[in-house]
Amino acid sequence: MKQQVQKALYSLHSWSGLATGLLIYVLSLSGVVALFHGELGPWQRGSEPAPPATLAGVDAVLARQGSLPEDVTVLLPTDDRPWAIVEMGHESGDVLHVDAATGQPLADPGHAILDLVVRLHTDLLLPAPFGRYLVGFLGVVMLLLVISGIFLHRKFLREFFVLRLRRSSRLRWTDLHKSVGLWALPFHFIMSFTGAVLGMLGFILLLAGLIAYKGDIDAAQSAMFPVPAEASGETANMLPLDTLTRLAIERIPGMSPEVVTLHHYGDRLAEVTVYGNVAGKLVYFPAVALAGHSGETLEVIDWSEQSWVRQTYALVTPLHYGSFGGLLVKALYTLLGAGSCLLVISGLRIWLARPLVDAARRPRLVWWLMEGVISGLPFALVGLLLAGRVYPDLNLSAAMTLCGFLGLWFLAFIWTTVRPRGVAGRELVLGTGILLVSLALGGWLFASPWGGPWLNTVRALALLIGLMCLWGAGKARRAA
Amino acid sequence: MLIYFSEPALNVPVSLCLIVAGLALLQYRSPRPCQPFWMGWGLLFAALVVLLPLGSGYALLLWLFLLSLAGFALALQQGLRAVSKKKRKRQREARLGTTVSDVRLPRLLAMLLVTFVLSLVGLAALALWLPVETGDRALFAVLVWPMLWSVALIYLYCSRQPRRAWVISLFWLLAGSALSVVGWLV
Repeated sequence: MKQQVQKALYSLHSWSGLATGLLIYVLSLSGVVALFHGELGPWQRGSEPAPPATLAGVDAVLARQGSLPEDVTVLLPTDDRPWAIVEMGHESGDVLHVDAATGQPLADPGHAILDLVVRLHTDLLLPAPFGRYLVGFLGVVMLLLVISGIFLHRKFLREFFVLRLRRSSRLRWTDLHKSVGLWALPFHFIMSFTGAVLGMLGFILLLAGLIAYKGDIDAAQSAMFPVPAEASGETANMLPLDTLTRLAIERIPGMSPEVVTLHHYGDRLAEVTVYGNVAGKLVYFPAVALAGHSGETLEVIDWSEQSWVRQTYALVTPLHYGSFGGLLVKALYTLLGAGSCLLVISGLRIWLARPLVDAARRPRLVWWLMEGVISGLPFALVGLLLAGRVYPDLNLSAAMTLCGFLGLWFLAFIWTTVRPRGVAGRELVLGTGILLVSLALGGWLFASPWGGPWLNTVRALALLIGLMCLWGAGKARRAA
Repeated sequence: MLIYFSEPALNVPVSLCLIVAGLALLQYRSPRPCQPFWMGWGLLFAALVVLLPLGSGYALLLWLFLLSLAGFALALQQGLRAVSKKKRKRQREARLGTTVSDVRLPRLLAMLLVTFVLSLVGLAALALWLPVETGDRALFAVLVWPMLWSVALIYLYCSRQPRRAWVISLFWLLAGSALSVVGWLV
């Protein structure tokens, strides 16, 4: 490759990385935390009772409602949320949290903190749909960085094992950047590609559907999402949800039902669609549509059994969320996601450590932003999670939670302003480590010593990451 | 039937061991470099085969991710060792200091915009002309679109002959638009 092309590639790679690196870091870090959304729920509540074996209570709740809207969604109890949620509309009063066995209404335990973590990853806390589109755009930029990185390091076979850790700062960061980038290339590519598709999906799928069907919205909709039958006007007895979910499992063996949608529930032509995940299968939410009163199978929606295009498309969501393989896949995603964060940090450090004619012109703003985001964000996230755990009864609103999170992050930025360069970041990492270790040890010593698998997973992870933070801060201090 | 351990959870640690052994062989300096090279690749392939009973798609992903982690860990270990023993000769430092500062923001923004439009035109052409079922055309276009945008931007930005790259990009823009219009009208 000619020198000029190489130079241009390097320029594109470095400047697009510099411009968007910190945002990509925010997405990567919040994505790693959001991966444990399921485990963090029981941990925040401090208890993890097993989900009930029956859905009789949900049937009772549906029967109790005088008139149901056309579409009702039931989120079935799971291991990490042992109650059912019945959604009958978009207002807060339309959402019922109920005991799936007895039908007894439960108080909403509050999930503003976890929602904030997820929204930070999916929307960067910006209003919909712009936040989502920005995240999609960042996915495209990440893809650009990955592809340009591949071309830049086209002699990658030689660079796979080159990691000179005790040489100059710039060389160390350069080798680390190349090594993490090259070794975790499949993961970075998958995350950026699926992130770009998922982020822009609302706009791009609509556009592609409209174009493919030449403006016929109804045809496009019915091709993508089968339209259920209209109501007949005759009432009929509905089969219990236990029976309907069992029938769905018979049609898709191995499926664990997670969501049930009810269309014209109580009508003779009512349609009940059971969605679920199949462990180890890379497909997004296969579903079985059943007749509500007879249990007759109307349709099996499993894109892994359809055309190769649909099979590929169905991979996007499970690949991005790592929802196909349990704790092992989550552990791998966590480590590789940490690699994505390291990639951003090392990229920025390479840029900051570049030789300059005038050393006094080193950009203070970039350094300040870097310390505030890279060290401040984990501190704010951990602080928020800890506050939610220590004061679970506060049940903060979404707005208050957002204010608390931004307040903590702002404090971290203030800290980076008042403390010397390099020291503030180290101290914030130390603070994050102390918070994480106290979070884990506090749980084991004072809350529920043995806990269950979810609680112990979160505590063990917190202890591990906390100790790593303490080690990193100590090492950075010695190096300084 | 492929290799299958009675306890399925064993497949993962066995595969990880094979990956580590394969990578260690791949970086082993031997007087006859062919042998460790092919044996290394053989072991890496065997690691994939061991995972296959868990499902082909799942196995491939797991293999890739385990390979990533094991490879980085091995590079890290070697990096720490290499300094003390000074086995490797000093390599020329990457040319990262020569920071290119000729990025012109208006030019970059123009490229972003043109390649975005170009990718949308490509999406439209694919959604109308791809020889598969209509719904699949739309989905395929959605999947290809982010790649189209990023590759088009890299091409336009990094071309050795910028003017020619602009002309070619604009040609594809017009050709794609024409194709889309024809496809819509037919």
